[in-house]
Amino acid sequence: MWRETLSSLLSGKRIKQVDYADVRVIPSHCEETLLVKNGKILQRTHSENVGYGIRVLAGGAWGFASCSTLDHKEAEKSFDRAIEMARASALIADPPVRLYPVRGPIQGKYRTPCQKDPFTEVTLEEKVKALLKTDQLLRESSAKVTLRESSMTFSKMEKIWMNSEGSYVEQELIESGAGMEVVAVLRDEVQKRSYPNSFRGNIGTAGYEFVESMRLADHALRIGEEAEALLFAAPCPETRTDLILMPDQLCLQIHESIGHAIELDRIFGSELTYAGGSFLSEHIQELGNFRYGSPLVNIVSDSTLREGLGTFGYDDEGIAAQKNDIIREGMLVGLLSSRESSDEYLRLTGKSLLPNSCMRATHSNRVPLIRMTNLYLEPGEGTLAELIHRTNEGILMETNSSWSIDDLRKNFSFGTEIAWEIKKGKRTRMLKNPFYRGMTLDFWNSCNAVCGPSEWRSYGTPNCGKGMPGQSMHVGHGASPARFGQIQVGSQGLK
Amino acid sequence: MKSKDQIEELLSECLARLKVAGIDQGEILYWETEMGTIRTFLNRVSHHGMTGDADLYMTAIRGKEIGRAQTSDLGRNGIQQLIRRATCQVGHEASFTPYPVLPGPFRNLSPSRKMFYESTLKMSAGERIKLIQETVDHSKTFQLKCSARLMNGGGRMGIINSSGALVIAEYTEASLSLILTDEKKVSAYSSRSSENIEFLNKDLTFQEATENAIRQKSLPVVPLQLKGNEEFFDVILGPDAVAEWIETLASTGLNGLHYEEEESFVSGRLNQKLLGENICLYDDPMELHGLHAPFDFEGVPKKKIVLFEQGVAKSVCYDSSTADKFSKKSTGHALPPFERSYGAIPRHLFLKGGKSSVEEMIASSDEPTLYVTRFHYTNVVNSKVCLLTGMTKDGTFLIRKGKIVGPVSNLRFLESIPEALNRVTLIGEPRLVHDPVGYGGLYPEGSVVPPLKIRKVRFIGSSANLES
Repeated sequence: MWRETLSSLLSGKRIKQVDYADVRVIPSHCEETLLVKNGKILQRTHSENVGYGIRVLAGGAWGFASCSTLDHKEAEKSFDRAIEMARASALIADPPVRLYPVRGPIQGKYRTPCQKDPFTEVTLEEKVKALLKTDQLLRESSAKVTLRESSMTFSKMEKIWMNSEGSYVEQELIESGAGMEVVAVLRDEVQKRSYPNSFRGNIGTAGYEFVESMRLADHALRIGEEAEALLFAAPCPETRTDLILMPDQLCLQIHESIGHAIELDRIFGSELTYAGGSFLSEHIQELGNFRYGSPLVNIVSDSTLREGLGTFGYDDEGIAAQKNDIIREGMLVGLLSSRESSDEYLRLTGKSLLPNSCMRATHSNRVPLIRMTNLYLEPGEGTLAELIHRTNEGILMETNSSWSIDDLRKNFSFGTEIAWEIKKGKRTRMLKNPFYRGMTLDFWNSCNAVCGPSEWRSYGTPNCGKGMPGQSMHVGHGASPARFGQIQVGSQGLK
Repeated sequence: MKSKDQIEELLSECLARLKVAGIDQGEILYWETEMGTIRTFLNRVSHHGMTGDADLYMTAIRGKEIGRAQTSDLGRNGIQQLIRRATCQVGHEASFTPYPVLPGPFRNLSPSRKMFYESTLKMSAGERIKLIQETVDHSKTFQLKCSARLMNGGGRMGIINSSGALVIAEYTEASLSLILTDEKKVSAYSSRSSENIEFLNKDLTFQEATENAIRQKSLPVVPLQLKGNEEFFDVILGPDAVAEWIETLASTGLNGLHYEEEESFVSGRLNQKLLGENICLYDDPMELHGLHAPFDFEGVPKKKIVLFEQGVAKSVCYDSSTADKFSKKSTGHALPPFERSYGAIPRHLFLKGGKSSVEEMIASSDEPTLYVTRFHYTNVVNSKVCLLTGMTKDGTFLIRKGKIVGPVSNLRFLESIPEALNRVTLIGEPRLVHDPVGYGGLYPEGSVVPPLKIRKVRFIGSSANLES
């Protein structure tokens, strides 16, 4: 019924009033969250969202309308509203929006590879049992641990997308995730450790097997012990030194200081009223000739990555998932784009940049925007042990605890949960409250080692904010441990 | 949108069906919003849309087990599935904390003033474009480009529970934000919000952003390099910057859950003087200049709460379940059902004002002082001491000998907010700061805060520093 009702809009008399239209239908989007805190089930939630969003281009301007009630009359009303918005905006559309042509029509179907459907093949009781077992192990890990949290989150979204060019795509996207954290307290000192990542763990496009593969129970004792040890650790010293970042932290560094900076809509200024701009606006003509990092830095945008949180079959403009170079041997060679921004890029530079499958919306009532997919640092060579062995003096930081970056993505500051001092090629004492800061280009140009494939890990980032009304997108990242020369580090405590 | 009568009928029917399903206690929230948004960048429209959201949230408690479910599918089948999911048994009953008796009875809570304006809800696409065209024309007059966001909309919210609560409220909001830029160095921001589009002071919004932009255009950029890794400056913070600090302070430090779990700077220190004597902070949903909410997301009536009186910590905020767990009383600060694991957060902050204008603060600055209009991407570095970092944006100025000498590059601060609030020397007149673009629904909240002058704030970097 969804298909018929909305297809009829794209072939009826209304379509003649617009230059282009697409319809994104979410017949079903289920999300489940379970949270166990200090041995008690604190949260068990299930949400179900349905609806559709209609985007039209008329007179060189966009209009959008959404609705969660699908009957023919409501759908027509929504379409008319979208046209009304576009026509009103067309009065000041200068220059008019144009879409980069794509080969079509596109016909596609995609389902997240999934061994164990978290909604139909795993019972609620089984999930709760696993979390309670994890909690028990966390409880036994340290007497100083006062707070323990373990959680799971699952999502299944059906999505149908069609446009006025005759394209039609159906997708079923499944996500599974889990994580745990402990807080140890001693008087005024509070220390936290998490696994597999902070802010409720790791999420990927996969079934329940993704959660099982994390082996939460195997890491419970370690994070409890580390949280306790941090209470008695020395603060990270204020100094400039070589910095080794573990993949969980490096992923967020990639996200903030590369990912957002290379979003082409942001480069053109469309996020100035919320998320900010990009320092690359001044370098738009320099694609291919702009040095972003050292020759060891190779960054790829890949929406086909197995289990990546930014993995799908087609974006919300019907462009098939793909893998593209963004930074090759330190040179900026690619950007994240859409049909509109690719056209704009061509207009401004005279050069082609194909739309590369980055347009996504979080919900049916939000417009698609350029979003990261899976943006990762390709592995280099060697193991972490070898890298540490080759480091005379430095600090190794792991697991993000705080982040901040300016609106043009230049000046950043990150805190991590834990650090270790490296002296003469050996990991020595633990350090608490570490943080580091720097400038984007200096930082990436200081990269002097990237570990090999055996150390490479990927992490989902489920809270990437952009757009108004706000959208919290799910994107993925990956990295091996990497070393950066002479970075300013310090302690997050008070002076 | 559904009428109030239709909402009451829907809520009553859902509660009746929950009771039939055998629950001991039940709570249902209906929340519907309708919002028109137009965004422009550099004088061009990037988005113009209408969104409508309507959701039912259901909480079902049976024995010790509690389940929560939400749906936007409000058809017969959707509601049936909602009840099934909320009442579904997990097993492991012993692992649930007994839930307290739901708060109630509360009925027909009347707002202390009008919150709903039909003209704000029904603003047409053409009217939005007309206002946006004005922003473009205005900015062109000053050889600037305008990126704007105009939002108008409203919502109706109803809550029913098995303890006899039945409350329904309706509200509208309009908000205009501007960023004026030029090709090189200027970036100036201003924003205003109101529950009534007629009271949205667009002229003042234009004026504030334009003054900031012209100041940046007309004065030479001051190359400010920090001495060493950090430098301390007296600062004058505009209301947007103050709101960002105060809201972060409140969500981390004045959240009852964080307080009880010893993660707050207030933990164990109630009735102690933690801020300067000139700091009085309230949560006041009735405040004249703020946006008004008559009840929280559990339906508990809202009232003024004193958080700090002359720098002394007086209270923190609770919802009913956190309050019960720690033998306290709900202060009317419950979050939406799915967010309750985060505790309870004050969302109508009022920081008592003073008599100093920003101009007087500038004139009083003999020492080098920074005037900061706004922050970007502020985040908590250490919650126990409420240590924050973030960047300045959209106009940061250096003041010498009582005069603004020019704009400086954006700067990174690293500061404990409670410590900074012990060093406030001058306080201005408060105004509403409201950002309607959160990830939740459109909701009448916001902070009413004044500009502040603060001694010796720590800065640790600049966007002009270091870069090759």
